[in-house]
Amino acid sequence: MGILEVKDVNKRFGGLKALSDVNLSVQENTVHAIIGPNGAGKSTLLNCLVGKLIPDTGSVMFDGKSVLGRKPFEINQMGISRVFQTPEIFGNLTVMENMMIPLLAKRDGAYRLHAIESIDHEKDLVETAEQMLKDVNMIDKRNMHSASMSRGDKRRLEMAMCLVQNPKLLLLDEPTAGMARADTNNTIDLLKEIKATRDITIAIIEHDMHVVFSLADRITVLAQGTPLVEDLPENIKGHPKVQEAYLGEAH
Amino acid sequence: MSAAALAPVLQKLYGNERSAYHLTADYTWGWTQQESIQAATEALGWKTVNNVLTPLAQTDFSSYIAPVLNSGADVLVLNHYGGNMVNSLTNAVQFGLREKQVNGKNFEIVVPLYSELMAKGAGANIKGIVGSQNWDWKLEDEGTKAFVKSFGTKYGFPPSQAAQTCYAQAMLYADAVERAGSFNPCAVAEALEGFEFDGLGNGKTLYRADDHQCFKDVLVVRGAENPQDEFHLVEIVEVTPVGQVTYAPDHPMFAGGELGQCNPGA
Amino acid sequence: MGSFILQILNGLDKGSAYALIALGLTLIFGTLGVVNFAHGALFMIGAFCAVTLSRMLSLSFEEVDPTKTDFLGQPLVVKTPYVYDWFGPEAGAAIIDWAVPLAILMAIPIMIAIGFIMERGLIKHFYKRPHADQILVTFGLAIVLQEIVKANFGANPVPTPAPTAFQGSFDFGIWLGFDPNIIIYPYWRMVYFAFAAVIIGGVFAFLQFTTFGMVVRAGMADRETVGLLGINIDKRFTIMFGLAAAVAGLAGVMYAPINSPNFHMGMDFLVLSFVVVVVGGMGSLPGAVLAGFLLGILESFASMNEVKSIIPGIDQIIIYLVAIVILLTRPRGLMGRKGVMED
Repeated sequence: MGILEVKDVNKRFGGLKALSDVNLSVQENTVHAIIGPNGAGKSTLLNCLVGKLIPDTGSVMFDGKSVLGRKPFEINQMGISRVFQTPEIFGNLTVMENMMIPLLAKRDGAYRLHAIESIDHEKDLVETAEQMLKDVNMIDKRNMHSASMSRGDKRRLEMAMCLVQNPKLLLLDEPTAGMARADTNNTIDLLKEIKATRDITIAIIEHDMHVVFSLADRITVLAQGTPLVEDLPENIKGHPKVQEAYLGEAH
Repeated sequence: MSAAALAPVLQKLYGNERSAYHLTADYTWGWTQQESIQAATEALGWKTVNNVLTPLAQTDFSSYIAPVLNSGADVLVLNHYGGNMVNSLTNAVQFGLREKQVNGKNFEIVVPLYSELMAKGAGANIKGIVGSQNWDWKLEDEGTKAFVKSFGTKYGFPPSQAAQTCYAQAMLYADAVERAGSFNPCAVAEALEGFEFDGLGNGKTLYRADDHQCFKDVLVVRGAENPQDEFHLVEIVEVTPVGQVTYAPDHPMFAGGELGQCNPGA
Repeated sequence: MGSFILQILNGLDKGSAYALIALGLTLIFGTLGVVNFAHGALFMIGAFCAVTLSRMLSLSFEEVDPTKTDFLGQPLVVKTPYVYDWFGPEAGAAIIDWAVPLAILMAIPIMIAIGFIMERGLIKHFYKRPHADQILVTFGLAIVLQEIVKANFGANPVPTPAPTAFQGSFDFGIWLGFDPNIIIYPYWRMVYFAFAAVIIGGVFAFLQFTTFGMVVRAGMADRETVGLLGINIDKRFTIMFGLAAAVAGLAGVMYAPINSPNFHMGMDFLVLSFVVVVVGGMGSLPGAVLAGFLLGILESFASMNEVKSIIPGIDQIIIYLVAIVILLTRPRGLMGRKGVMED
């Protein structure tokens, strides 16, 4: 049993079949990459995992519990965090405030009076946030308005915001899209470090094969809404079907 | 009409040397009332310092009231009716105008035409405010007494001027239809032209044929200083007889031109 | 100079009410994305909280005084408020006198409750509908609310005076070295301005300095992401709706002595408040406050005789004129952000 089990998921948008009979099993503490050409249904699948979309049929189980029918915030509280294709941070907040949001979510249960306390009262949360910012080398930017940061910094901040929640499953949606080679390598190093130091499962959607083959333990190839093959990276590289559907087209 | 009735009382209460500041609702009724009050008060020797037109939809009159005290005027005339009057009077009292002294005289506020419904809306602000009314339940004639008794028994409070007007108008219309023998508006209008009646509470009343104006006695009233209850917010100062308020149909201030052909609308 | 200062004072006071209503409107629009046409009705209900409390405090027992007669010639029924009986006539009269400030305490829970019910019971179902549907349903709600008030309190304005201590006016001019009677301003209107400043400051402090406010600010920027980060933002936004309703209600409570409340007063403010919000920039809280005061001051200047003598009737159109100029030169308003209501 994987930590994430997707069974027979179908999703239609009007006449378009975005996902058909998707089965996917992500094992705990692995990096599982999902690749495929544009329009293969990768983002749709991801959206089904975080509650943004609800599949027409099929089931999505995380850690033995169904995620279907739960609201995005509940799914997050189950232990799934997501990093977006374009950095989704709160531009009107400072870096530190951005970091506080996912931490506050951790205790966003019953309403307690401390919800209307100032940030200074949340000493333990502030310490956690500061430690995380140190880990990603952003502590000197803590009071900066996040809108004014570079794209790379925004991406790092977003990653930090997800990691600070200590998720069991981290979903990465093209984390290096639009990055320069040096930044991409930094991201790969960061993810490798995360993988090495934490109890974490990572599912990653990526176009950049360099990133995929540097990180992935297993790879699923998606084409036209259906998983084509799922295998170890070394077997995927030379797979004829993959060449045909994806790599061939890409090069 | 209000002006003609009011002027002698204003003279008696406030003298001949006054400077008035007018706030006037910016539509036909406001314009004509302001014009007639200005003419009547100037005939007494009053000066008119200013006349400011206020938008009909205005609710907060503070920006129009604020400059009044500094204008040299010692009387504020509010040519407002209904909600306008309730708000402008409330605002004027808020600005403390009633307690002020200007030109060595007590500052006064005049509302040429108001009803006790408006007095009720203005609450304590109506105290001491002089104005005129069509009708008041405290009149002593038989028609009024009968109406107050039957209305008061049914609803538990005395009828307002508006209630009396509605009742009287319905009666008059029914009577006119009967006399005309038709519902045709032109026939009804003809039946009312030059019609004179009495007994509905307003005293002897005439619908003059020449200009369709209504002539009757006018009540000069004042907001009671210490009302015995909520029904006695205004007291009658004087009943000005119809003779004093009648004007010629071709009076330059009121003449509205030819009445034109009647159009029954069908 | 004197009249200039006077109109600035006056504009600040008018602007206070505009800013408070626009602030609440923006809180709702900025969080829930709903254009709430029932906001004026919330202001009106607030004013009627003051009316209701003053009536409750004046609840009386009746005694027949055979020596006097009423208007029908029957023995007079004399009413004495219970509070006179309980606390003595002097303390009782003082309590009734202070009905409007006391109504603040009553209005806060009532308005928050009305806000919750409105949001959970009706508006929630319209989040995914077009703005036009939201406008129609909230406008309809406004009509329903005002008809309910009309049915209970009548169509006439209900005088609701300020405490005696705040009646009358203060001569600012003397204080500033002018002659008497040049700059006078009513005490209660000054109270209103101070009250509005406290409320506006309170709302901003709440949003800026509490963790709750921080989450709400994040949610205003990106509601979906806040949810994906594990925060139940809907619940917080419901609370914000309650808060916005309370702001409108308190603005109404304190407004009751300025103009006698009537069922229609909310509509009188509604259109204006929307102009304020649009001029300030949809979704911008500082913009709403700034535009509220700005339009209040401009409206006051436009009603000055000196100005009216040059452009007659300018006071009737100034607000809309400003709105047109702003929308032509800065279509997003003074402090509006990109992408708001532009999808």
